[in-house]
Amino acid sequence: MNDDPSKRLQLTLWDVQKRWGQKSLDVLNTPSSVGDSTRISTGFAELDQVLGSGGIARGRITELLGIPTSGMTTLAHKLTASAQLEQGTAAYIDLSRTFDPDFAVRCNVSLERLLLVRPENVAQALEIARDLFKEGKLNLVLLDLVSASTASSNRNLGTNLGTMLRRLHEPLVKSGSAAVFLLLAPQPPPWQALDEYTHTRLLVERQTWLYQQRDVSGYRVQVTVLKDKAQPGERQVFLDLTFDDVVKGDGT
Amino acid sequence: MIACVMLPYFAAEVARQNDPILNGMPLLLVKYGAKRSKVAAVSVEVAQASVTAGMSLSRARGLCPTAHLLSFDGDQMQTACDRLLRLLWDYTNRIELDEAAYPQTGVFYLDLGTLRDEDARYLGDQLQGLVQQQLNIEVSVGLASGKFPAYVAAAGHTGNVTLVPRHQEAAFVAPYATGLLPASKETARRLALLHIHEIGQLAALPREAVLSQFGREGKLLYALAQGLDSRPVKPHRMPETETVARWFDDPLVDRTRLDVIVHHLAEDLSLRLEERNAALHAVTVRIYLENEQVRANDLYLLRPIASSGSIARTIQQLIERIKLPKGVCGLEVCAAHLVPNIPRQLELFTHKPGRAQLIDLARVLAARHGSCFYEAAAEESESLLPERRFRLYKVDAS
Amino acid sequence: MTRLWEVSELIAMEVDATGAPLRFRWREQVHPVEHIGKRWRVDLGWWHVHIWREHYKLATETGLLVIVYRDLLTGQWYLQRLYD
Repeated sequence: MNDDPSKRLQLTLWDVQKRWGQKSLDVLNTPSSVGDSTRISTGFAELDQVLGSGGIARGRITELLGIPTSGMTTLAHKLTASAQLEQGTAAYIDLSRTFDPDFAVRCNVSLERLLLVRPENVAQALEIARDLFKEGKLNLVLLDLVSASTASSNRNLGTNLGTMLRRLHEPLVKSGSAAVFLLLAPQPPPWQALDEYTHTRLLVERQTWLYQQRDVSGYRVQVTVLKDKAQPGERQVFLDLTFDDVVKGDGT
Repeated sequence: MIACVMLPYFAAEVARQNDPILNGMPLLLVKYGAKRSKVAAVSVEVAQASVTAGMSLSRARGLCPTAHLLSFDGDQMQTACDRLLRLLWDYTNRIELDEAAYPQTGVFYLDLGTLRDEDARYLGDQLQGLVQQQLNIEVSVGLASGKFPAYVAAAGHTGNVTLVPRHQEAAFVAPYATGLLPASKETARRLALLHIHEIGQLAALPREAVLSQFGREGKLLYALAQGLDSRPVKPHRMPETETVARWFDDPLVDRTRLDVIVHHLAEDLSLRLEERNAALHAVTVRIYLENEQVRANDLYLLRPIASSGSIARTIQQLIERIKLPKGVCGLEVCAAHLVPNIPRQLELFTHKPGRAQLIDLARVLAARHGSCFYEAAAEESESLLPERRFRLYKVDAS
Repeated sequence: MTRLWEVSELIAMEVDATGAPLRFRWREQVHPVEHIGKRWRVDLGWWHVHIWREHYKLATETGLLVIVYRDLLTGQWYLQRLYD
């Protein structure tokens, strides 16, 4: 390695730039903070307006329920991007192992400030989430538990789930981080143990396809607020999700 | 972004550096054989007399009778090559040496990943300056989205740093001679017969016609003529190994003492690797027992390691698998399958914002929960395959 | 936006006379195709590791929006991406 300190610095800056882009050098000059606000925007103004907190609450659990192609992953990514504003950081606990960095970036998620975690099972996912809350450094911890909420995987959860959720709740409340759980709808029976801790529950459902020149360019989604401790009462809002064509030659 | 670092008359310049008395002399470097001797490389003066590498010695002497003959020194060239690679490995571990051009011309392709044009140009200037300063040889640097347009940029602009703007590769390579294409002798002869002398002429032909005329080779040449080259840079690997050992006058039976030795060996090995800017993929442990038996075990790692902590853990893992019925007289650790160690982000800044904080957090949790923490980074951002656009890197506990 | 499988999931696809997707079985459920959006081919690396695929963006009657592809070298079908 080169002994010249200025050359090493130059090379290191080059390495930082090469790996994480020019913007990372701006990140390195700005201290991060968990943030002062008590809520995180969902990324959709219409949805923020119908939520009692004006977004999802920090130090609380928000559930996103849906089925494949409901739009809940898009909503999750938009939430993550929102949590990362002003140099915030987030974690994505990808138990389903289907995190798509390409489209996350298109939702304005910053990969530089996202920690991706791929645990072996639900127990490890919840343990890691608890540790992340205890560290108290992240704006958002998102748990993608879609694969864990199938009938077959639920058989193994037993009564431990209630204990695991209780253990992570206290550190969450103290942390100031927001916790989001992605689950298959309808909410699987073992996961009803989450009920006593959930602050907000949103059901995401696709309504109609949106077309552009004979191609399905997106779809209309109905988001139902099933539970909101800040503002009780069921409410609904419609969102249009469209997918931009960014990479040349790619049919998406 | 691919950088092509080109050193024309590489072998001749290296020979002159090692023996300055050769400066100014027309040089003919020869590979002497039992039956036939061939030209390995030439200096610029001899090249001007139309002598080329691969030519028979007798023919070369006929073309340039005043050339000074020198036996080609393969070891000397290898040393120069290794020295250059060590310089370039500071920038990327994906470096390919063009074997076809070597040793007449030193052509090194560096895969620099995704870069903006201004960053690429800056880096190209750095590369050129560094190589010229360290080796005292004139260097050209070509920068482009593929190996071939980068090669043309370097070859066509000697002594300069030349960037081919994105999407202008076809227009850039068009006016250059078809001799720059990696065509076989037969294909080159047929191109000349058809009066196709410029790359643009080949590019203008219908694709089907080129394929039917030149077959499989035509497919590649046609793509290159359009400025399209998605051939990957094939990384050059270090062949050597590094070995550290300890021998004991009195056989060791105490495992605690052995653990201490393991840590010292790991530190030594880590230092050796650091000097070479290398990391290892494979570790072999040999234990010499007092009954003159030798027990060995090895491991190939999916991700290369270089830190003393990781090496120590690996050695201990291997030792645990070996039965030790007698005292240990000697312990030898060999590191193999070495690869360049890309510099990781250094902690140059006193505060720990955003990203650095996140990575620190991940390392702490990885120590507790195992290696299930990742960071994602752009790889081939314009790849047609979505799974190749980004790559996930594990964050290890260290 | 989408879920991406690192290793695309093998599916059983039924095609029509022109070779276009009709319905596929994925995770024990049959998904009849409602609409074929874009269709494109990828042909890469013929001199190295050949990747030759025909991609389709499909909307199904079961409410999925997916990208599937047919590996033209082996003839097998895979689910690559799921819009969500």
